[in-house]
Amino acid sequence: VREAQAAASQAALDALLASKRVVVTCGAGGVGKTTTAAALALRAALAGRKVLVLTIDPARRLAQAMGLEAGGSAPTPVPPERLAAEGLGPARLEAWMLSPGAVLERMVRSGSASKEAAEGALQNRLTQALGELVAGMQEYAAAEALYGFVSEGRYDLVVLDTPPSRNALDFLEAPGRLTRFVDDRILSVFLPSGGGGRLWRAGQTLVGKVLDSLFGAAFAQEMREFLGGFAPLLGLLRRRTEELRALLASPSSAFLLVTSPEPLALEEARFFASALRERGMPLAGVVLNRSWARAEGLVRPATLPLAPDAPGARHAALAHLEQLAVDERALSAEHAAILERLARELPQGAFALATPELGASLDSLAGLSRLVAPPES
Amino acid sequence: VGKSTVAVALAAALVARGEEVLLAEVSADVEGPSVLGPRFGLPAVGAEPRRAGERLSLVQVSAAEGHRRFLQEVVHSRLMAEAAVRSKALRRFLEAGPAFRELGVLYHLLSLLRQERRDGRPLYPRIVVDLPATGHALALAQLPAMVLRFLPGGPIGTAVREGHDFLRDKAKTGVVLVTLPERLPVSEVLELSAALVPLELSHAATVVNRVPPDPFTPAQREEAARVLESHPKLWGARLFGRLTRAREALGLLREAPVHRGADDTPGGGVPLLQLQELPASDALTPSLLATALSAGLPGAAVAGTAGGTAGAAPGAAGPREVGA
Repeated sequence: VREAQAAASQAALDALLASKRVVVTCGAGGVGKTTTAAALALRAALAGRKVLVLTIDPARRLAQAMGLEAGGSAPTPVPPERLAAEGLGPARLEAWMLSPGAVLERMVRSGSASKEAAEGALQNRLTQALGELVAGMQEYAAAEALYGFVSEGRYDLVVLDTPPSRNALDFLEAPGRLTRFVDDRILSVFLPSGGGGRLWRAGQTLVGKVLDSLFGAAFAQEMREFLGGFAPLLGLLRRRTEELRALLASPSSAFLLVTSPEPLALEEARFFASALRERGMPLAGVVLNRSWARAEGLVRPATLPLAPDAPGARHAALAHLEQLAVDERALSAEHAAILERLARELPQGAFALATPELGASLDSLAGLSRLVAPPES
Repeated sequence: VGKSTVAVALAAALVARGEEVLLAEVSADVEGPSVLGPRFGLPAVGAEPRRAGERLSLVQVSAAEGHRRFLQEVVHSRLMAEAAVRSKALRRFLEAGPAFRELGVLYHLLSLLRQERRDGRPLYPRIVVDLPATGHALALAQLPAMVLRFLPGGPIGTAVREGHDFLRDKAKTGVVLVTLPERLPVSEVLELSAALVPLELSHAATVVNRVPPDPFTPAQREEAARVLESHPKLWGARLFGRLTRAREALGLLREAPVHRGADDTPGGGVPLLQLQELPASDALTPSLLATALSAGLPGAAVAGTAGGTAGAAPGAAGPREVGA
């Protein structure tokens, strides 16, 4: 039964990788989300689709495996010779390490009325600060980059690895927050246009005074210029927020939760699942990573033949291994039960899939290609 | 990586040493769900410190509370401050601005650090902060220096400078990094440790959590490896692989320059503490960890827990704030 379920889940995942335009992986930090996103993208690309994987902060070895460099201003293709060297077929796979600065620049350039206006906005000290700021900018960058690449239409599938976040909802909220940051009412505080009733104006004057005393008049002036530069982008940003929301809620997108069997990671996955449900976003399935739920064809050390004249160290080693086997079986059963529980809790049609333990081989493309693949016969 | 558990254990170890401890968690909302509260039987925590045990209090630090406290301090007219706090436009601005949330969190912490008893001693002499995961913790740590470049003066600049000075004062703030005995978390924690240097934050200790007990002697290990080479599909092989990775990861940590000489030279390197893996459901975990921690903690230093861990704590005994 367990193997039939695993095969059905694998089929559901492959169908998703064959048909969706956007796959978003979410989950707690430290569950292997980035690696899973890369493995999903690789599998889709090996099946013939043109795929882009957007990631925030890949581990150095993963980046090396994919030929990915930090700070690149555009996606880099995974070199075909590297795929061939690892015995993999051709694949059109590109990867980009999101940098908030580069994403911001793309956004300003595409949204400004003229080249001069774009340069002006980019030269502003605060725009530059925004690009350098890691705190809170990764979520904007992820949302913006996803929107940008999907609307360009150069890829069949974009896989987005969401930023690690204690508040996993940040990514979903980010586009909305960015538009609120530069929305009309806030702008009107900094750039009073004289509209509104007397009471409204009095309120704005009060807030303006508070801001002046908070930031100092000089900085508040700088802020006015900065927000003034962004004002033309406002309509565009708002449209994008709406379109991104619509795209993510549409059948061309799928969210995948990635979790480990750790209680905290599972709790966060459940929380995220309910948040997606509330927002009408499609949850396609759960990937249980770093678990030992899979146990195809394993035998116990106690069944191995052992010559009576074997050295004492070998007897002791096998006895220790047998103890490890007992512990591992208990853990494996626990993880399999977690997988079943996850499957039961999921909405209709969503799948729960456990990845195999691949250890250090995950540092290679060949290893990566086995993470979300059926077991080898 | 068990960061929150280590933060709880660190607090318990300090309490056991006779200190008054405030354990702080970073929360998205003023009254958001609490990670630490349930461990002490508190369903909710909140923005004001709440008793969780003898000499131990809990608090949730949040951006919104930090903003509120800051506005009240800066805007001298009470009427204006209240109007500002109530102003929707201002609230939206503070909620939406990319760095304002982090600044709010830092200010809430600062306001707790500033509180004094009547005799002038700090009300919270030792604060253990359970910080968010590595990426966000580092972002939080980088923020003060960056803000000071733009706003050297004014009320924001002044408050940020005060907080920044506190964080950089070795005697007041230390960072406890928490990691696992696996290659990736270990390389992450070493990178994080290096990233603390330019920020002038003091790395007080590294805690390796969940170290699996290893029953093999070197000769037995060799034999086991030989068996597994000819029989790779064996139950226990994955656990054996984990033991191997844990040994290698611990070796990497011990040999890292930052930890070198910690055992034999006083002041030689940053202490490296190992915590044995315990059954997950064990209710005793925090107290067992606390015992292990108090045995290994350097006499004076205490810190915040990041990615690891970070914390802060002032007073004669050592750093006031400890991050985990």
